[in-house]
Amino acid sequence: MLNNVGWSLAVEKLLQIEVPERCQYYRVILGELSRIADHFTCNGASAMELGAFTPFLWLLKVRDWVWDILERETGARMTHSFGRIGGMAAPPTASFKDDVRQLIPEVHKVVKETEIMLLRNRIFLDRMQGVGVLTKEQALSYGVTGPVARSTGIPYDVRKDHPYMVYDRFDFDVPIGEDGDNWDRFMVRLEEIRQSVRIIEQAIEQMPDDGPINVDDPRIVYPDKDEVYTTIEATIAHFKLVMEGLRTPKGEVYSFTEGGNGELGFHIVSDGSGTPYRVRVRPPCWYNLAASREMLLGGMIADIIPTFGSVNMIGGECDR
Amino acid sequence: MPKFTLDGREISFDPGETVMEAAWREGIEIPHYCWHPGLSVAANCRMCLVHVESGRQMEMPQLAFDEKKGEYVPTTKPKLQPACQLAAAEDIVVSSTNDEVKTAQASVQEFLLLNHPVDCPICDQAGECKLQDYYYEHQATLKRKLTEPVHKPKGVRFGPTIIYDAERCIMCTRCIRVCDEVAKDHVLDMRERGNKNEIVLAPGRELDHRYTLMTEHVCPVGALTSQDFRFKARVWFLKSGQGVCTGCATGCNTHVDYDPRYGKVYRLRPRDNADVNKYWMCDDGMMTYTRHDTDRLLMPTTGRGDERMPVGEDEALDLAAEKLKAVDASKLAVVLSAQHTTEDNLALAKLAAALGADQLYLAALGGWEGDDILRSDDNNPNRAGATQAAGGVTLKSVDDLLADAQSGAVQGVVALGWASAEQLEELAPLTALDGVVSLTSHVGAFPAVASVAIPVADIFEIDGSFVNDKSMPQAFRPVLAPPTGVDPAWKTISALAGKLGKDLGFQDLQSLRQGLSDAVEAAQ
Amino acid sequence: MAVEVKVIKKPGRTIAEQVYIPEIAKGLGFAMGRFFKNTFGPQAKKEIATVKYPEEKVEYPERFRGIHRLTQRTDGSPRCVACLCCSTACPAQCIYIEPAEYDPDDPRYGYERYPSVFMIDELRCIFCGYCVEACPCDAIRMDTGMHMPPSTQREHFLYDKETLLSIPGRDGSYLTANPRHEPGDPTHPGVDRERGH
Repeated sequence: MLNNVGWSLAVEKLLQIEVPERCQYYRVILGELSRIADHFTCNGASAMELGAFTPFLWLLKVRDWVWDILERETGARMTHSFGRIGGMAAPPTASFKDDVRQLIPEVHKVVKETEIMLLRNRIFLDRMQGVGVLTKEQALSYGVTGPVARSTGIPYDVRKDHPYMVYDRFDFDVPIGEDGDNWDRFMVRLEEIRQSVRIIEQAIEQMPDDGPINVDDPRIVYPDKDEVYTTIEATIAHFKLVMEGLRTPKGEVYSFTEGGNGELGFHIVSDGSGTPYRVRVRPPCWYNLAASREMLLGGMIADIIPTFGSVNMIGGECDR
Repeated sequence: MPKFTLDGREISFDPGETVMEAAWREGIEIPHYCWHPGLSVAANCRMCLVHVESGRQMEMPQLAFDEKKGEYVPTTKPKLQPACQLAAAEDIVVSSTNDEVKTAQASVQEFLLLNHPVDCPICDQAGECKLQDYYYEHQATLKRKLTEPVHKPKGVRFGPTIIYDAERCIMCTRCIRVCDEVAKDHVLDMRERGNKNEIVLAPGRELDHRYTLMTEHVCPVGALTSQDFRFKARVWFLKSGQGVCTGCATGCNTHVDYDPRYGKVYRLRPRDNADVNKYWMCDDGMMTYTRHDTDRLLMPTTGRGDERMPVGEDEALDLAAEKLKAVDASKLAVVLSAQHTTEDNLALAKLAAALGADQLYLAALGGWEGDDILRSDDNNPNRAGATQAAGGVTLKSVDDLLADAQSGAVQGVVALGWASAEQLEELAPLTALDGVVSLTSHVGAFPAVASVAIPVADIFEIDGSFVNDKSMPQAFRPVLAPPTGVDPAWKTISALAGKLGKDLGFQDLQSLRQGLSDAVEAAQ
Repeated sequence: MAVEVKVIKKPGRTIAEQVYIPEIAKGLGFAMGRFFKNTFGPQAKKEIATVKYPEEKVEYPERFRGIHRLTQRTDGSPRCVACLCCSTACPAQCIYIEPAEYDPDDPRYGYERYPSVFMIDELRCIFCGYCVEACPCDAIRMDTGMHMPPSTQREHFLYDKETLLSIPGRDGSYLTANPRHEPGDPTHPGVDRERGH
């Protein structure tokens, strides 16, 4: 979902349009839910790899509840395919806000439980603290972003430093670590879950209950289906979008958002046609993975497991 | 040259040209439906309205809604003029993009779509339709009309090639003008007025002249569809290559539209060339693409009749070389092809020279009627090229070949191409000869009597050139990849020469073409 | 806005943590407490997040993108007119369609066309839903609420036109919601050259 939104924002920047406010809140909430799901998975897997299976299951239980909401909204648990240039594929469901409100206490509860079960366990502490250290300088030189960078003490968060959509309206903190070890990465993610919940709580209150989701331009968004079935104008607009794709002005744009693992950037070069002339994705994990060399050097073979787990490498982003 | 200004850009024109023509020549497209560079001006679609900003303004009275008064008040607006009919004049300032013009374009577009059916899903024009393009560029609003559109006849058969849909028609009359001005046959006309009008056939007639597909070609919308192309492909999947028509010696320039996913050609369209075909092609020429897929020879074969069987490529060349070696060079007939490119023929002529064979023949198709519009009397695209390639040697006909074969003057044959004027039975005397080698893209008369037939690439698959009946050489580029294991004929000939122990003195197309100018000089 | 930063401090370690045993007992106790509560506790207090799958099933939500279906007209013919929009929009290129024209005697001749072949490779499909969005006729839908039935044979995942037409929507309906007039409908004006305007 964060990728969906990131890409849509990049093309929207090229088109110089802004989606309606309701959609921006919708995107923020769905995005933060995805971030929570991401951090739950990463932290749960980190713990499991060190032998703590129960926290893994408990974290994934809540992740599945997050996914239940995303599935209700988007139609798929993981491959959402829900973001559209100029809006979203569909407006929020009627029960969206209530669903999210019901979820929030569960998230808090399981984060608390995880802390009780893990954070005083010596095996966990020994394998996380002081292991896989990345210094601030190394992090900067590798272009590391996201929780990995923040764990070294760099307070860089795109949502704060370059606010996009409506992130400047929310009150939330950027958690940072001190040493950049596995423990800090784990704890930064755990804290970010709480901060995401704070954002969601505020966004739910501020989000309008009605209003358009998509921009009002048949050249960007598919026209309403009823119009397409019965009028030629809408049919033509529909066909133009299907046949040629969405035509953007000539030019290039770099747009970046805070993905689950750091700065997710899209560099698009457009030649004015319906397909991009060139697209380059700046995936956070590619840089984070590169920096894992520095974390692992001089350590033990066994340390690869917690370190690699806490980097949260997404294979698809490193496939290039 | 005198100049005028269009949208801030200076455009020079010849006296007598219209604003539209001068802009078109400069590569600027003023939106239009009914105007076509090759046809007379009708000025009935009103899409090309422009505003002449210089000189005394013509004003038109109109009622406009006044927000303050809350009612309509009389006022004026500038009178716009159709660019296709507006003669360009020195120093006039024309705008095709100011607000007045934009309003007019959007209104005309909306008007044309008022009764248009919701047919994009089933319309072949979708993807290359002017209504779609101009809607996107100049209108981009949804429908305001609430009532049922006017209905008219659909799927009307105009003739063996064309289906007409009156609901989609915008009455630009381009098709009528094509019949009148290009085909010189007034078979179409318009009846009724207003939203009842439609294109109709002359009573008792069908649309059956030789240029019917041009009516479909000029149709800016999907009102006229070609029976052949109908529902076969979606145009947005098609890519276009540049070709030359193989139908006759005129050598009309074509766009070859093919689907890269399947490697299949779906249609030809005329490619503008003021010196050859202007904007047009005849129906037979448009349909020549169908030859490509039918009756291709894909594997080398050996043996005749029931004993014919496929062999490997290398084996076939060995076999051909062996059979040709057995024939005395003075009794070897080399048959050039008026259907193949100059390069292919040149390679074969070189082979003949290297072998010392001096009996050159030319295989050509017949049975065709020319006219004084586009069609040449000769339906072979490259008779002139093949003659040039022979380098001044007189080319005998296939009839002579048969006579020579029967008299014993010819004991072996190397023939290029499938096409000859003869029927299979007429070539039967050649079956008496052991060494008949046919290099061919398709199954036909020559391969049928050949003892060894080797496939070569078809016209859509090669780089080459034709020389048309005005002695104008025209090159074209490959559009599709040849079938696996099949090469252009000049390459196959070169390989065959290698098997015969001869070097033809070229390695690639460039060095082969170098030899072409020598051959042309020798011919002169 | 000033960057609000929350520094996470490392907790110091107590002797109880260093000797490991108390913490493991605490963690185990916590987990076992949940185990006993969920196994023997009163029904209302149980916190079981799973369902007993084959017997109990979670209903797919309204927007769930399941296997495709083709909608029908009232006479049972496919609503699809083979415009190929879905296969154009398909990022996985899993839709293969061959258009065909109605017989000249058919009332739909000139008005409609139909797919003679409509094939979806459900293995190749990524269930993005773009085909449904791209359909200008409400002919293809993914509202079946069903996931793909498993099979060990690839051919079972090639859904042809008849299969796709035979799958009902979640509400049991096969009909399209496209209100377009059809030749033969009472609402269709049915103009032809003979009858005039």
